[in-house]
Amino acid sequence: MSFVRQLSLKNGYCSRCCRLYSSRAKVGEKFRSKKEVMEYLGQQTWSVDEYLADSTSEELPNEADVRKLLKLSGLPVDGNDLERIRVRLGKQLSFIDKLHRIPIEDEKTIDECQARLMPRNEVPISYDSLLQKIATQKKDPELGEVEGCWDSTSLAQMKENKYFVVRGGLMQNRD
Amino acid sequence: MLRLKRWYNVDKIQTSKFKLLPQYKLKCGLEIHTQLNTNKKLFSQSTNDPFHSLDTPNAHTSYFDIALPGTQPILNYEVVLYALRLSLALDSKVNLRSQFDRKHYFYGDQPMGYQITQHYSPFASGGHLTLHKDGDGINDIEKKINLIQLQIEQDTGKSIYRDNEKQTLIDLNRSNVPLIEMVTQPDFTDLKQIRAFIKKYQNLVRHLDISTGDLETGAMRVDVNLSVNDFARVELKNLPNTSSIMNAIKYEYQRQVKILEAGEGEEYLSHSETRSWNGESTVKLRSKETTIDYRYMPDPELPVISLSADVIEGVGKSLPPSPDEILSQLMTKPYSLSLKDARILTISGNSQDGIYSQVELLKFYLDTFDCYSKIVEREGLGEVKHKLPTNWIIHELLGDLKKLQIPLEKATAILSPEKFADFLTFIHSNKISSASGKLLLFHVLEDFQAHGLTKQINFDELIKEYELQTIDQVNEADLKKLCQKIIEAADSKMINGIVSGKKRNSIKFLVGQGMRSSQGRIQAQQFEDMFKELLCSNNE
Repeated sequence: MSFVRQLSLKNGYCSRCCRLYSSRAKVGEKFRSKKEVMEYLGQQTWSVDEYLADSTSEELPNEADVRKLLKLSGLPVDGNDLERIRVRLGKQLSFIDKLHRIPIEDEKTIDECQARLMPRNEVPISYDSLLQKIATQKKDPELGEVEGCWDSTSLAQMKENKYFVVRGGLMQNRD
Repeated sequence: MLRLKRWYNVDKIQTSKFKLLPQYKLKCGLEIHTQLNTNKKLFSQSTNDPFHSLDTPNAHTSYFDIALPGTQPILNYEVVLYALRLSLALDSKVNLRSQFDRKHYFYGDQPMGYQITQHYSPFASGGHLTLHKDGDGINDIEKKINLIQLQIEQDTGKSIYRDNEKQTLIDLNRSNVPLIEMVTQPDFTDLKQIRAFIKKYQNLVRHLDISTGDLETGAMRVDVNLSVNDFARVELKNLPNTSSIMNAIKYEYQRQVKILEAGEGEEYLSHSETRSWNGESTVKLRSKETTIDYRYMPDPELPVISLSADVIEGVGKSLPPSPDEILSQLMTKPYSLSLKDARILTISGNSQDGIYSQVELLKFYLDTFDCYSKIVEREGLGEVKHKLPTNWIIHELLGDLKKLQIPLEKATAILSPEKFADFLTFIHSNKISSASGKLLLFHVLEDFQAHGLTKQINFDELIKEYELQTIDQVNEADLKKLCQKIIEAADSKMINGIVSGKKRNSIKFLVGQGMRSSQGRIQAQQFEDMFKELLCSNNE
């Protein structure tokens, strides 16, 4: 699991950034070569075990919660080893718990809306720039946005006359 | 112990006899999903045209629309502009920092496994739409319906169920089409208000040109939440048109009243539930025990929509006057239209009719009125006859266009507002009679349909060519002879009815015969006067 954000290297090497969830987040020196980037990414600075070992809660999620989560995730309950899932979920919960407990500088001033894989200090859009953005938006054939540039159903195993086909059982008994 | 559940069904909706009972207070709110008619979809640049692409399933689908792994949403800013227009028109407070969130659930027409919506920080909040007794036909003089919020979200794909084969066909042309979900406060207390609100909101989105607003195509979908005497609210879904909405409310009200009359409200109406309308009755879809846990979370792939304050000002200035403002303008001088005619010029009809849009019609009327008034003033033709433009545009021109299936926009190539004002001036100054005017107008349009635009119309020349000009000096003896002939040919019972005064209006039939014989060149009034004279003298 990597929390390092993939930054574009198109315009030279990017600034060194630390993991978003590091306890000491700061921007480092600029990378000077691809080798430095690879070396940086190749370093092992932490391990999952280290975090899992530091669990505050030994309590595992109960079976009813596991059943509910399987249902919400569209996964079958029958044939699943519920005990094993309880243990694994318990580990994941303690890991998340650890992440929540990492001290963050200026925690009180952090804006939760900014917890996204996006530039954080966006400039508010003015009226002119809104109109400009609309006027310059274009279809991108590389994203399959141009009609006729690809057949979206060609990837599907089940299809009929350009429709995707879903087996009936999946569409019913949603609750 | 086996517990028997009582079914409170209402056998048939008493549509005609339905009435609200004063001891059982109805309280309703609406949740309206409106498909925006932006050129592109919400988070991709695929074409947004789900209704017209029904025959070409999945033709308008990008990698993101079908949720290929690794694809990401990119916001279409057209949607932001449209949402701003609607929010400001509804006097709603725009949130300068709204955000997108994921609403998770599994369904075949939702390939991502979640819908991108605005749960935690919606686009706009508050606002209202005010209904009036005069313009909207409600019982109260005025009724303000307050809004809770407006949020932007994605539409799902379309499912075609084939129960026999236990399969469902999925068309994702509609997937990722932008929607605005608008939620009102539970301010409605009777059915007229609900009907009026839906019409008014539908007209507003058409007026702002942000949606076709058609219920029939699913471009506008209405859910109703309803409670009686403040018991838990019931949400009604699957209401495809206005009559379904009205009938579902009537049915559900009667069902709940029946429960309350039996004194079992606490047992059956204390938990909210979702019910679906099947055309005859409401049936339970979900209750508290089966409520879906949507696991909302902020969408980490989409930035906050951060707007500067000047956006509100800029969009506000670009908005057209509201339909209510236009209505009141049309009903005052110089237009002085009746409420009925003013509404025709203000209310947008179903976009699928295709002959004209309300915006085009209103512009044509206002421009024509302006040109006509100027000609009357410039040429000293007396008072402006304020009903003339509306009568000829709404009742004659639109009728001819519908008959000939010519869109108004196309017809303006030969009948510009200036040209139409010229035509009206001939009628205004009695150079041609109304009957001749009707013939001439239809002829001009029919000729245009058959041969296209061959040359500019010159009404003066056409009137001379077809000898349509009104005969100023009618020979009294000739007119008398013509009228006598018509009376003799007419049914004697009818003549007796006119003479005795029992069927006085039948004289219009005689006038019509006269107009036909004279090809409309003699004024109707002259015929009427002569018929009265002859019939009165016969009576004496």
